[in-house]
Formats: sequence, structure tokens, C-alpha cells
Amino acid sequence: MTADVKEKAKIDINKIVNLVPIIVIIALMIIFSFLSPAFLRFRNLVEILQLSSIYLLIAAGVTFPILMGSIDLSITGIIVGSGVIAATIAPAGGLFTVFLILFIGLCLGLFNGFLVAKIKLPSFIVTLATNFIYCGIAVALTEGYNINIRSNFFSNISNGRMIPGIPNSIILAGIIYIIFVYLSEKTKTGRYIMAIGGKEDVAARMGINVAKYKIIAFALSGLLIGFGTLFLSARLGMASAQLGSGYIFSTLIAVVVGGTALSGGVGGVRRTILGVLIITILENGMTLGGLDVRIQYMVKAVILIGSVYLISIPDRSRQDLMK
Amino acid sequence: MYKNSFKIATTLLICVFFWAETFCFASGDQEQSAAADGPQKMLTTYATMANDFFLTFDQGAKEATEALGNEYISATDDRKPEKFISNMSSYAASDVKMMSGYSPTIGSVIEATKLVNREKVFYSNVLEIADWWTPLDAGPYWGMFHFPDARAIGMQGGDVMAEAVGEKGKTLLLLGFPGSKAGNDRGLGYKIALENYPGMEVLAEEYGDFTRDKGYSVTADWIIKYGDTIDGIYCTNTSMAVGAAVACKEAGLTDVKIIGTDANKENMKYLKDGSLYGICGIFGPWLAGHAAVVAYDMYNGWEPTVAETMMSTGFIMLTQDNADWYIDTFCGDNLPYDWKKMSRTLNPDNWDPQNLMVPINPNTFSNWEFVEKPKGYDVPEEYAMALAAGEYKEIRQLYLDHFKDHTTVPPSSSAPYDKVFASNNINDETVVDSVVK
Repeated sequence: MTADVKEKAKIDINKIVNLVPIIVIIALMIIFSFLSPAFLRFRNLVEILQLSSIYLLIAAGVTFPILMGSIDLSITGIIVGSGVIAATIAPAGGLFTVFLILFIGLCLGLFNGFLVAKIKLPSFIVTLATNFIYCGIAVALTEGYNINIRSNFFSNISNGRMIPGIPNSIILAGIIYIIFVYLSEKTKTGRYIMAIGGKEDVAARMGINVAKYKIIAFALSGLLIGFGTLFLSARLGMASAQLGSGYIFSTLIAVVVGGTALSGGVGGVRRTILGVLIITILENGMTLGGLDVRIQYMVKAVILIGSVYLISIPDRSRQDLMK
Repeated sequence: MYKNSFKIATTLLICVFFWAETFCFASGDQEQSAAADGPQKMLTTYATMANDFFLTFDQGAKEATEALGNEYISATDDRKPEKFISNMSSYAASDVKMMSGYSPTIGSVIEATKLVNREKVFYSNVLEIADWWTPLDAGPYWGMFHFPDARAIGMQGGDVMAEAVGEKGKTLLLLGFPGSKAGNDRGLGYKIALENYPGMEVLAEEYGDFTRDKGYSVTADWIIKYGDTIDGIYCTNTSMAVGAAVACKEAGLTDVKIIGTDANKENMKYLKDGSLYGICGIFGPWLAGHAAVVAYDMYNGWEPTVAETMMSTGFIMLTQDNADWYIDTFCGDNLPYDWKKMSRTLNPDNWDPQNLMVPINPNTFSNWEFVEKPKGYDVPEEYAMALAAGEYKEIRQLYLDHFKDHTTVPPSSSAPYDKVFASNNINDETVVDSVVK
């Protein structure tokens, strides 16, 4: 087989692999519509999108470090940390609370980035450790209790309806997502993050300030998780040290299923939406099917392994799955 | 290439949405009207199947739902508030009109009860309620909150512990998981009770996450620290109590008195063989089943009075003296309740709650005694008006009069624990009502 033929075959495999998430979405919708007639109801599809809106922002956030070949495992910590600290300082649920949630999310992400880029510690270890720190702060502040945020303004961020029948969180999350897709694809920052994920040493030789863009990637992750926290807390009307523990698993699956490789340099924020839709359709369908939440985890775990396998098909030579 | 795929996907999704909307309007109404006479879906929510309490909770809800001729659905949330709300939201979106069950945290009750009112779903819940948030705050679709008084249960545990160790001893306290009001209040009640016994002491308290393995590991650590100075361990659920008992047995501490809360088939054998000294029974399956019956009754037109929106429910103390009675009565393949008989709509005149129930006055509710009211919040005035009009006393008497099937009352041979108890705060002071066979 000549080099050209090999290259052609590789491109074809890439095309097939790229189509897999779309095929899976369609297949899931057909399967669940047969299993539960209520699945395709307009209101249920809106519910799927509302659930997706939170996942989408968090998953889009963690896509940035993953594109760089790093990982952010402090999702739960940032969710509970930003929510609880903000609600402790400003429990009224006004604009200041909103600002604080986003600002604290950004700061916690920046701290992760600083430890990874400047202290040069592995992102896996750093974010795993900071996850416990942020969760610990939240538990210490709340003693395990929730902080209820009883504000119509705050609740309306997620549950209000600017357009009849469509919760605000879907519209707002969609706008934020588009902005960050643009940032990742059309700006220098996005291209440099991708370049670092492709080959970090090459990127450094090209003059890219690797440390700076690593910090930016983690800060963007923190900020978007902050946005996710905002919509989550607004939907539930509270901040709690109990929130968010289910998100780390599901959002990482969503990123990988969407086609972003854990090895970095492949994929993008745009693709993450497909992974998010797969996960939320799956969750909703399994819930309507009456599956216990632990069995749902098992199904998602199988999908994660399958996705990692599929994504690695086009380039099986990649051994460095995570830097 | 990928951008093209993305466009295709987006177009497909939009098509599905339009199709779904058409589908919804075309078939939804037909289904709704067809279903009006047939079995309806009833949802019960709870934390997890990997827990003795919730396994029997599920059994109670399922038996009640099926006895009422409806289709049972359960949704577990692994104690995640976001999953809990998402489950309820998904089923509301698929036209389930009756829901009941347990919420993973007290805070999530507020959004859950707003959701059921937004979606016009009849709802009844148990055990956990948000601070200063009543059914009348949420709206008419939240019918009844069932609550075996956590503080009273803890206080009874404290009294029994003091009696067990001769009113002088060092004890430990295993709480549930952070954020569980029921667990924390049982612990608080236990400590309040011990204040009446100068010789009693709480050496330490720790969260045991309501699980047997955490109960075991925390107790094992305590044994290393306190050794044979431990006289008793009070656990806010029985799964943890069993874990604590195993740890004590392994360490050769055979005389430690261990008391738990929640009695079920799996843990009663530990009471029977003496590993546990006592268990407070809160009738989890009854709570689940009665909550389902309330949702059913509301769906069929019954409206609770103001006093009935929050009800204190019965609990018992089990020791070796009445363990056999409990095992024989409640631990068989089927529960001993006549679920249909509980229904106000099926039996308007001779309904029977089959447990002691006393209305809760939210203004002096033990759960909220030490919790500051949110700024600007006042308990809806209907509660004070109902109290002043004598409605609370009437409802208490009504439920006592209808409580004819004394299945939940222990036999007289188990005195002094031959009663079913329920907290009563109708008058200024909170007291405990009791009923004997």
C-alpha cells in the first residue's frame, strides 16, 4: 500500500468516526421514542435541552485544557466552590451573586492554571487535589447544609421564559457557547491552545508562550464551569456542597464522545455539543425507562470506553493519551 | 467535513423538534383522554437502591401504587439534587401527574415543589423539607409533607441509651451525610435528651454517610482512639449502626450499646441477636406508600385542609422484646397494610391511615426552631388562622378516630415500648402523642 493510499484510507476512517456522534444521537432518539412514547414530546425535548445547557457550558469549559493535552478534574470543586462561596457572601441572589459565581469560577480556574503552568505540576494531580480543596472549603462554609437562594431574578436565569415554552438557560447557554466556539476557532488564543495540544515543544519553538496559554485554558475552563454553576444553582435555587458530583464523569464523557481526544490537539469546543446531547439524551431516556442511577453510570462508562477506542482508531500510533 | 456534519446534525435536530411538536399535539391529547380511565403512571423518587431503607421504601410505594390500580415508576438520584430535579422534570414532561417520595437534600424541596406547581403535578413528600418552606408557599399541587419527627426520634434514642447504660456513660454519635436535616436533627435530639442525664457524655460525633461501610470505618477509628471506654453509640440510621456493631464485635467490645433508626428486614437480625440494643422504627415503607396514596387522592379530587399539609407521623422503639413481632408483621414478602383503605377518595367515610398522624404547626415546627427565617419571609397566615379556628385539633382527632387498624402498634408485652409515638406541637409546647393497642 502506498503512502497516498494509506493517507486516503485514514481520511475515510476519520470521516466515519466524525459521523459516529451524529449517528448515535439519531439512533438513541429512535430507540428511546419506541421505549417511551413520551420521549419525543416537545416538552421532554425541551427538558433535554435544559439539562444539556448546564452540561454544555461545563463540558465546553473543560474542553480547553483537554485540547491542550491536559485535564481538569476539579469540575465538582469549582461548581461547589464558586456556588457556595458566592452564596455565602451574597445570598440574596442579585446581580452581585451572579458576578461572584463567575468571578470565583474564573479565579479557581486561574489557580489551577498557575499550578500547572508555573509550578509545572501534572494537571491530573493538580486538579484532583484542588478539587478536594474547593469541596472542603464548601463543606466547611456550609457544614453540609444547602444555602437556599430565594430570588425570582436568580431563578429566572434558568427557569424563566423569555420565549414562551423555552427556558432561559437554553437561550443564554446557547449564546455563551457560540461565543466560546468563536473564541476557540477564530482567535489566536484558541489556535495556540490547539497548537500546544498538537506538540507542546514545537509550539514553544514557534514562540508561543506555552505557560501563558495554559493558564488561559484553565481560566476559561473555570469561567465556563462558573457559568454552568450559575445555571445549575439558578435551576435548583440553591448552592450546596452536595452539587456537581455527577458532572465530572458525564462532562468528560461528553467531551470525548464529541470527538476531542484526551491526548490533545484533536477536536474542539464545537464538537462537544454532540457529546453533551448524547449524554443528556441517554440520561433522559434511561430515566424515563426506569433504570437505576447506578446502572446509568455503568452504561455511560461503557460509552466512554467505546468512544475513546473509536477516537483512537484514526491514529492508533498515539500512545501519549494524557500529558 | 466536520462542519458539514454539524450542519446536518443541526438540521436533523430541528426536524425532530418540529416532528415532536406535531406528534405532541396530535397524540398527546388522545393519550391523555384515553388514559383518564385507565391505569396512570405514578412516580416515586428516592436516593438509591443500594440501601436497606430505600429498598423497603420502594416496596411500600410500589405496593400502594399497584393496589390503587396504577403503574409504578421509581427514579433514583444517588443523593444528587440536580438528578432529583431532572428526574421529576423529565417525568412531568412526559405527563406523569402523580409524584411522591424523598428528596436528597432539604434545599431541593423548594424547586421540586415549585416544579410540581408549574407542571400541575400532584405531589406528596416525606422526611426532608426545606427550612421555612411550607406547602402553602409552593402552591396547591404539593399536598402533604410526612415527617416522623427527627428531633423526637433522637430524644427517644437518648433516653433509651441513658437507660441502657444506667444513666452514666460515654457515647458516640454517628450522623448521616452532610446536608441531611433528618440525620442532623436526630443527632441534635439525642444530645438534647442527654442533657437531662448529668452522667451521660458524647465523646465525639462524625458523619457516617448513612452507609454500613462508613459506619464501620468511623467506629473502627473511634475504637482505636477511645478503646473500651465507649459505652454506647447512637446512629442516625441502622445501616451505620450495623457497621458500628461489626467494628465493636471485631474489637472484642461486646458490651457497647448501639441504637439505630430505621428498622427493616435486613437489619432486624442484628437486633434479634443482640448486636444492636434498640432501633427506632419510622415505617419507611408506610411513609412511601401513604405519600403515594395522598398523590392519588389529590389527583382524584381530594384537597387537604391547611392542617393536613404537614403531618407528623408515627414511630416506635424496637428492642429484643418486640423484635419478633416486628419481623413477623413487617418483614414478610408483602407489607401488612391495606393501601386502598388509606385512600380518602376510595373510602370517604371509613378511610384508615393505619398509623398515628398529627398535624404539624409550622410556626413552632421543631425542624426550624434553630433556623433563622429568610429575610422577609413569614409563614403563610392560613396556618395561624387554621390553628386559631381549631382546625388543628379537629384534624388530630379525625386522624385518631380513623386510626383503627393498629398494625403499627407494638404488642403490650413489649412495655414500655408498646406504643406508636408522634410529635404534637399544636399547643405551645411540643409533646409526644402515643397510642397503644
